Amino acid sequence: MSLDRPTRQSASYVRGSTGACFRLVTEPLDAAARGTVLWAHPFAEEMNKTRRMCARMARLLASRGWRVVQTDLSGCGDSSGEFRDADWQGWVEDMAGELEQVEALEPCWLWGVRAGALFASELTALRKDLNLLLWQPALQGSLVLQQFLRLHAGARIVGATPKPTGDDQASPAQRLKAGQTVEVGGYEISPALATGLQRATFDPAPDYRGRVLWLELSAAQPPVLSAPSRDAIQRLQQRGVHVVHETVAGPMFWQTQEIEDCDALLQRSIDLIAEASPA
Amino acid sequence: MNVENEVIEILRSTLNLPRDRVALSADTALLGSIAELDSMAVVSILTAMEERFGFAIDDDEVEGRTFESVGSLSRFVQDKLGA
Repeated sequence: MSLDRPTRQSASYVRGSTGACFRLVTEPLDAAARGTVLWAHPFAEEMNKTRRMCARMARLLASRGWRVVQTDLSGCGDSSGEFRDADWQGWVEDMAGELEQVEALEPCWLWGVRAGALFASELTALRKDLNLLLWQPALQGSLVLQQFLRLHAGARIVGATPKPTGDDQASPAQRLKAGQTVEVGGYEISPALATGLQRATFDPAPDYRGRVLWLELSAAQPPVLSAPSRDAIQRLQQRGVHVVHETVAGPMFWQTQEIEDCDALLQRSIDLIAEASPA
Repeated sequence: MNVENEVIEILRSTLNLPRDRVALSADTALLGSIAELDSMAVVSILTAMEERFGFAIDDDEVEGRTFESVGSLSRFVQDKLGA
């Protein structure tokens, strides 16, 4: 996919909840941006798996006139701090800090990828007209956590780790409950992070009045929206929220073994955001 | 519902095994034979099966043997559906 207009990128460190957060801004080279798109990245390994697609999307958006702000949350990516020191509330503060930087009058989108969509609850309370671009949104933090902790069982099943004996028999979930930090798939999760994530849900503020673009991938032919998403969209629509949803065929690039692309998702995202925000 | 076909579809989409390159049947060995099947893939398959078949899987129910072959995985699903 080609870029319409030249773009530029600048990187900096900004003050986050517990230290310096890495921020990458991609914007039009020689024109004022038509608005800001704030990226909220997925959880743990999914952040790595989605890097390429998100980087491509950011450049495409910038070439269509948007200023795209991609900030790694505290303890993630190139930000300072360790993953084990991160907690959910700190991440909410990181995102709220980025939202504060956006001019009140300019159009603003929160681009929530997977668990990044969970920040919509707090951020739409701060800004009622915040638009949402959602990529395969996670709707319940508890499911994100459960699926993530399952990696521990996955390693046992494929024989990468021995069957636990004696004191090690407690599952990661049980150890978190007992107040211990657990390591799963190379990520150390603190009880504070687990508790916060577990409580997080996708639930825009009651008087929310932004627009929502909801995009999912499906391996089924024809592609179908997942049942939980269908219910969540219906609830939003009943509240009078304007939701456009679409399902495109493509690989589950946030969890596939090899890094995968899905051009259809990029194209539909660009098209729908343009339709929702006429120049 | 043909459980075996559904399981094969899940394996194809999560492990990215196209029809024209990899044939899958009940006898096809999985763990130790298909390189793509690592711990992440096991998690994806379990989660996809929960969504597709509408049951919850307790991690303790699953062992390496469950992922021995397409047939053993299909039997696991059949048992879950019959339970």
